[in-house]
Amino acid sequence: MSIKFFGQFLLEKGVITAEQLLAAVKVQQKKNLRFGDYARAKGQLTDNDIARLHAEQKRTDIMIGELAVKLKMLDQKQVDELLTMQENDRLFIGEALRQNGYISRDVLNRELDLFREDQRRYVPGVISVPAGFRDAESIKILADLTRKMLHRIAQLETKAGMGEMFNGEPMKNFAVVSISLSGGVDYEFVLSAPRKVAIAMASGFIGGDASGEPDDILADGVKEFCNITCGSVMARMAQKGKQVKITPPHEVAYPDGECNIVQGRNAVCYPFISTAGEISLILVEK
Amino acid sequence: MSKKKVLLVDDSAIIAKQLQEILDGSGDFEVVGQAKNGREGLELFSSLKPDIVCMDLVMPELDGLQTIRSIMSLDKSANIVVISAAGGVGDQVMEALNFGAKNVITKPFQPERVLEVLKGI
Repeated sequence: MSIKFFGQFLLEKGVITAEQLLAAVKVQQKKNLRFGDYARAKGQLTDNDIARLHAEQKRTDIMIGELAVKLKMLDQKQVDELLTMQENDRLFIGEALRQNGYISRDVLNRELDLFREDQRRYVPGVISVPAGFRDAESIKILADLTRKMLHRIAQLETKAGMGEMFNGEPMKNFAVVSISLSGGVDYEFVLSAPRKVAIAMASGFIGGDASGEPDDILADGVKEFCNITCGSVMARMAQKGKQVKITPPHEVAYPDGECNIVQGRNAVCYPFISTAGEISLILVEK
Repeated sequence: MSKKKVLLVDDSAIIAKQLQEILDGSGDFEVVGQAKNGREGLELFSSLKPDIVCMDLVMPELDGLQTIRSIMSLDKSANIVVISAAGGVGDQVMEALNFGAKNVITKPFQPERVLEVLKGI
């Protein structure tokens, strides 16, 4: 059992084929407009405004609508209207599959019920912290910002799994990167990413397809991703009056195929599932 | 007009690569050296005498703050721009500006922002 998107769930169960899923995703992508598209269509934002908002969004921890209000590009009423329009128009994958004639309404309803049951322990949008950690708030901030940065830098939509106590050491992966936070937040931040995720991160930095880049550059992209994420944690904590220091990111070594970073300490692991593969965030209490 | 010489001091190869492409591609700047930590940065600053230094803050061996302080003690007119991942609000950034850094660019950055800042130096 793992976190899944509904389309993946249907595919794995053989309810739909891969071709049908891809076709439905295309319909979805065409139909589902972004916040900026709605604002542009209503003449409230120009292309330049939207580009500026996207650029600013990469540096901040704010939703695009909130940012537009902050920068006085839109007022709150306009943002609320645009968000409502976007939500009302949103085409979900199940509905896209039904509209394309790949599944019937009865099958859609039945499978949705089964999917919800299957995914009950994974709550998208909510970061939960298991009992036994002395600074649950910091853990939530670290996990939440990691997920947001995956979207903003690597353009990866993810689903976060429930945080679970982590025993042992992280498995070897394309890149396993660690940063030590101290001061207002006392945790070891460890991110494990497969190659495809590293490509997505590097692509976000170089502003183009990074799949042809050598492995050391891709791994460096993961390090820089961690650096920026922890930098955002510093900024968030500074707003709360807490000073945080971070070490430079480093790749965790696997000398004999194993690493020694958790060292039996209290740790929590969050899996983030994306189309590029699973990313694991492990936070180790120091 | 001759191109301004830029020294990059950043332990991140991908950020250095991105900056080099932006600067070399602009026609106004030329990246003359890259250092992976503050110690290398200091050595290259002395030997290359760049017009501008782009400096990361969080680096191994000698961090950005210490390096800025050392460079400013060597040359009070040095032009240093901080390339920061810390959201631009941290004490470190303020400290860097206090030490004499001229401006700050927050990672991840847009090419236009980098050129705008460096042209303003």
